Amino acid sequence: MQTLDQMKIGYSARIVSFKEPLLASRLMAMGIIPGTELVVLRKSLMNSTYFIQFPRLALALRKDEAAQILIESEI
Amino acid sequence: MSFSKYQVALSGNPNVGKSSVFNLLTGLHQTVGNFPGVTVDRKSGVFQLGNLGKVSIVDLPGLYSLFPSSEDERVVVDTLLGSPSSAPIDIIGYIVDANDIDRNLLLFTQIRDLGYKIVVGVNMLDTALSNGLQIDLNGLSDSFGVPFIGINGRTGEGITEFKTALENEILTQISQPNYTFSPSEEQIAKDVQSLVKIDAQYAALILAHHYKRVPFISKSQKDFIATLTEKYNFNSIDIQLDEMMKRYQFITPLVQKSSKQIPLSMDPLTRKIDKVLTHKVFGLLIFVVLMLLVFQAIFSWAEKPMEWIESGFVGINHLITTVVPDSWFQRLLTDGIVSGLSGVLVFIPQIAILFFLISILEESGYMARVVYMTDSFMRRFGLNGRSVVSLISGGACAIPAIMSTRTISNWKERLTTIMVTPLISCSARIPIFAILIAIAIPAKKVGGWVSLQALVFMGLYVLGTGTALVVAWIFHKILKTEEKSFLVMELPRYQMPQWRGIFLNVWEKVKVFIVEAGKVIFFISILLWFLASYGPKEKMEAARTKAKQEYAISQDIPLSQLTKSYELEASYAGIAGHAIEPLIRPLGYDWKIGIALLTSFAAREIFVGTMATIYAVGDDDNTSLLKDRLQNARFSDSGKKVFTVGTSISLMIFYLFAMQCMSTVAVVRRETKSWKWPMIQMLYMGVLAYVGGWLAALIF
Repeated sequence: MQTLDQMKIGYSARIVSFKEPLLASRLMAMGIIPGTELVVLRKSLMNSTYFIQFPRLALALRKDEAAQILIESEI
Repeated sequence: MSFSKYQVALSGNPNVGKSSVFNLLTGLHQTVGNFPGVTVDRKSGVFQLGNLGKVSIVDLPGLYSLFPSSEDERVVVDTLLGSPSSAPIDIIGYIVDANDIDRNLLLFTQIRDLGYKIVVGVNMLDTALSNGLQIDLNGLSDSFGVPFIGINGRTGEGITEFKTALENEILTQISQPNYTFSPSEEQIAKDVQSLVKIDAQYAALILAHHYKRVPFISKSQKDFIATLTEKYNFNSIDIQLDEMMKRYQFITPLVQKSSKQIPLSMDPLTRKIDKVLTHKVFGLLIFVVLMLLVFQAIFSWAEKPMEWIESGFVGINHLITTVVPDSWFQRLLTDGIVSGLSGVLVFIPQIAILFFLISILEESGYMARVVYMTDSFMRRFGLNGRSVVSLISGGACAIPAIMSTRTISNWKERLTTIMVTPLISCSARIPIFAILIAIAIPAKKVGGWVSLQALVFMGLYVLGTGTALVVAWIFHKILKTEEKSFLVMELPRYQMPQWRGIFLNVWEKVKVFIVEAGKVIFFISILLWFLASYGPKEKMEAARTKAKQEYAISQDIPLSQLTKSYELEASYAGIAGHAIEPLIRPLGYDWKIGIALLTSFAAREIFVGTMATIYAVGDDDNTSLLKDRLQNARFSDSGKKVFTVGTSISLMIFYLFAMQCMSTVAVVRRETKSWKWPMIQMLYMGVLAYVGGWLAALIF
């Protein structure tokens, strides 16, 4: 299944689940749960940090953190 | 602070405007201390609560849930679990951002299940409304069974109603935990309650999640809970995730029932600003330019106030000499304490300006973007995007810079930041660099327009910063940690900073600087004054005679200055300077520099003053005269010039790397809670300084 780190800028997706439980706990406490939609707004130099827009908040995520988030992309 | 009967705690997620509500409630009646045993800021205060009189209030650091991931968050959880080291909380003022009300309510439901009385303050209703989100506060109050009060942290609207609600609910509310435990959660919570005295069943469950790091339960209780988790096969993380899902399923429909909403994404203005400020390339360029502007401001705006402070202290010294009779006591006051304090307090304007500008960048939401842009670069050196803020602050003074590392949640990254921050060239090094550059570097232009002296000056900053990164990388390789490093950082909406909060913050930082640096400098300047003013009797006598003889031959230098110079040589400090000469000779230094190295051991800015005394320049800031004297100084044995290009550069490198600041040592000890780290830091910086100085003397 696709993970968030593989997504290109400007595309949107929906979270399916999380691979890393600690990260999941953090994100869920912020209201980001399976089913939440997201858009990759931009990436930093060298594509190492992601600027992700969720319906209610924006987050900075490291690439390896994004790799722990399973998504299904929306067309 | 008088003891008040009730204690209110403010809680909520980060970035909901909790501090502005706290400032509105308490005004200047607030203090910042530490939570017991940890270096997490504990803001507390008192305010008038209707007929209940004065009540105390504590502003708990923001957190997302009772499943903590940083030290700040852990402290809040401990406090809410009823840590015996803090006063019991009678009611929680829970602040939410209307725009994010559903996800903000997760923690609310958890806190309520701990058995607390709660009043919810709904902040930023105005921006929510302009985003198209209408919220029915009465509906929410009915659904959740506690009052939801609309408040505005900027204008103060609704604060009176919020206070009234707190006053009423503190007396009448009956807490209603309503979490539905799964069978396995119920089992373990009940078993925990059988051993640990804890009222709420949910608190027992939270204890089962975090027992390993809770400070107020005993070792045997921890072991007991450990066996329970094994017995029930209690997988903490999975259970946490299930719990949060259950809570959202409870919250979301209730919020939807009471709000009318058109789907919203990020505030359009924030999106537009971010397009520029977080741009891959331009974003970084803008950041660099902003930082240059901040530095420019620190030095140009602070110039005049620094002069005022200096002349103020000169005035105080004059006053003392007229009021106190000429005696050892007068000289202790003037040469010891007053000049020691003035050397430190003169940096207040720079520190205030730096923190004023940094608070604006923080409050507006920009710093979160800086972290986003720099995190990956800083991580290569074992640092964190947040370290950038501390390293920049280090350009003014390491003391507040080291305190600002508290926002870094990963301990290893925080420690590394603390360890390398003093390598960033602070403002106390500037006078030293200035005089040495004037001696050693010709006032030439490179390529016709760049001043060579300015280039060397900048080179020293670059060298300090570069070394800080390399040392950070080495620490990163040596230090081991089990703790996972996360970024996962919220990029909040941009907003206009609130001046009230900014000024409170600046005042707080300046106060800490005065207290931390002041108390260290006070004692050390007395000690150093003694060492530099007293010596073996016959030697001191001989020094005075020698000065008189020399004055009889030539009156170029006033007798008082000659006497001071020879007395310093004969003093205990002078003897020590002579004693270390063999050690520092490879770096090109003579015993006179040795004396200055020793007297500036506690605060590097003392170097120039000591050199002025040794070379009998007098107390006035006569830099050009000092420069001449230094340029003509010769070794007493070989007759060679002391201040060659090599020696001068070597000294600059020495002062760039050496710790030479006891106030920093004291702060590092406080922040790391041990003597181990400040000692390691002093040692490695000392080695760098010696080796660097020696290499410089060899090369140049």
